[in-house]
Amino acid sequence: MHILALGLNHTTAPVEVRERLAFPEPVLPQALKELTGRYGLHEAAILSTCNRAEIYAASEGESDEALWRFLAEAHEVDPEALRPHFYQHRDAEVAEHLFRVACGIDSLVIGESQIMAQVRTALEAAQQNGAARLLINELFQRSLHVGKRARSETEIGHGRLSISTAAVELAGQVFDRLEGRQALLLGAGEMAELTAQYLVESGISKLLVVNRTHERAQDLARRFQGEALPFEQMATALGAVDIVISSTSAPGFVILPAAIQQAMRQRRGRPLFLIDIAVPRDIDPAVKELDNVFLFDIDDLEQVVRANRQEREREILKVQGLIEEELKGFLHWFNAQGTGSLIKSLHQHAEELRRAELERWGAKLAHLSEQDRQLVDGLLRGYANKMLHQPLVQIREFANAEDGYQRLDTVRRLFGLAGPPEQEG
Amino acid sequence: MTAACITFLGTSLLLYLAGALLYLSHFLHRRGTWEEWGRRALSWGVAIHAVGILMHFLFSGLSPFSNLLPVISLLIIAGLIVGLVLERYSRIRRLNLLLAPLAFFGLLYLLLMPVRLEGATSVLLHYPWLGVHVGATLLGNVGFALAFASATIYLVQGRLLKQGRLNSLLPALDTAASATYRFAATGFAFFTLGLGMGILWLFGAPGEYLARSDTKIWMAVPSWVFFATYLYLRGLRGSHGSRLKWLVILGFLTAAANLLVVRHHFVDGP
Repeated sequence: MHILALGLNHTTAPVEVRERLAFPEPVLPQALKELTGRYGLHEAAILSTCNRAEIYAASEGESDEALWRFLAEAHEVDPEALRPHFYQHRDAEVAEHLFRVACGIDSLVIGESQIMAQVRTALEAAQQNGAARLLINELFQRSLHVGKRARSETEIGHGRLSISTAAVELAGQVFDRLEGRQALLLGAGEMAELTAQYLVESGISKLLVVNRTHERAQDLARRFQGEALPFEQMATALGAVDIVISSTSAPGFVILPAAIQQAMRQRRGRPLFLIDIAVPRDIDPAVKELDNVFLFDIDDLEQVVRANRQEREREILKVQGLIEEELKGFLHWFNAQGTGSLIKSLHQHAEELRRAELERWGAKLAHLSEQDRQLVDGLLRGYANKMLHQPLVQIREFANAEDGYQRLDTVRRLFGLAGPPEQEG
Repeated sequence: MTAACITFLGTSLLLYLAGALLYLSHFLHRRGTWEEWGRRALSWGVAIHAVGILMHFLFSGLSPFSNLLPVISLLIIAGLIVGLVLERYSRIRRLNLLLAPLAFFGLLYLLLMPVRLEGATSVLLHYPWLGVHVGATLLGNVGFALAFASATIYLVQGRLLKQGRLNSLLPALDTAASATYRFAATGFAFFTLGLGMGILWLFGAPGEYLARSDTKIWMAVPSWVFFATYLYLRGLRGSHGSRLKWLVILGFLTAAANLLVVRHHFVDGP
């Protein structure tokens, strides 16, 4: 039995391709039934998210042709045209790939945890539709286990990476609790809105909105249950709030050091956190020199994101170590499954040879008495058992070897066993 | 000091060093287990240090206040216990990042440069209330050490943020600021009590031992002034500027210098 995977993700295919090949939840049951029915796969699971579409299968053969045919028919696409966007994995590679996916190191946002829920959903869908049995079940359960370990034993899941969330993260370094803090949203850029949304979700008590077009400010204030202020009141608002998010489309600086100095006097030096997402910038960078004023423009935020990514890359190495550890465990289990079936196949093969030889020599042995015939039969059986003894000992040892699967495959080929033997259980 | 006592204190010194290095490594390289090991090293260091000092009390035959070893040791032990407890139960994290090296250098100084307080035993026997001065000053210094650690964390975190660097290991600025204020206020109350008792003794006690024992008390005044100014500006004027934290740092450094460097002379009366 082999495990196969065929899929694409955000690094191999643009969104236009990904959306064409996605498997929305309603079509999953039918797709899984077809994979294990019409396409003759032993087991199957489909992991379909906004960033990836992957089919996992347990198959008698090594070929993934059935998966390609399924894809072509299910989505009515020409598989040849899409082939460059796909990656294919087999056996140990499949397990390693799925472990990486579950750990979040194959995700767009490294370490994101949503993928764990998506892997679990894919497994549940396969179980409910009778497509997940021994292999897929074990593979997915182990991937969820390693995903959980990665998040508890490393810092892969800590911190955030988008510009907007990095801003909120930085605010959390100035103010331990955002609850009870006030923020001022100056202008109405899309990213500023997103940042404001994260701040509101993080518990800030009040959001003031200032915009040159007061109607627009009122509209935004309504959405965030904040308060719209006339543009002229901006200076007063600066003294009252703890966080300022600015994203106007003004051609020059809207907030100058003098305004911040005045605000800081009002605040008696309490820290003021400023996020300038506008290009060109709204806040004069000279305010950075003021005590307890923390200004971050778009480049600063991107730098934070990059630094955070580098930090996570260090964590990726640790996660990779966990994956290797878990992969060994899975391969040991997988090989053990193959070992049992291979031993069974070898015994069957020896038995078939013995019978064939007896039949071939049947006419020449016809003069033998029943007792002598049993003696020859026993002799052949004993010879076969002795011949198989050492290979069987080795096969059991191969189950513990790192490249056990390949070794077992070699044994199959050596004895000319037609295709891989059937999985046990 | 007995050989056993030196062994205990030496072991404790090494554990403080290990703790300081592990905390620093954790801060620089972010390996969660290093901090845990650092915490364990400090905890064992405190326990062994306490046993060493107890042995010193029991076997040296000297008064607890006859030299600086037990005095500073109690300060180190108390400071570390507070640091370890706060690290576990409060939001002011990484205090031990600073307390561990302070403990190491404090104990190293004591072991390398033992300071005898001549005549202290008899003075303390004659004037037991002087123990209140010593005890209160000691607690004041514990508060100052913790305020110093919090203020330093505040300045480091502020500097990192100014550079646009995200460091989630250190507590948020407002947490460090509020911890600095609370530790400074508590330390100041004890320190003031200790200083007051010291001045009372200086002016009220009879005789000759006043002659050469005033330096230490007068040298405590700058620390008191630094902390008083900080508390006035922060508590009464409501100022929050980061420059205020330098008052705390200066206050602690002068207090530490006074404690370690200025010799205390007790001259027994006639």
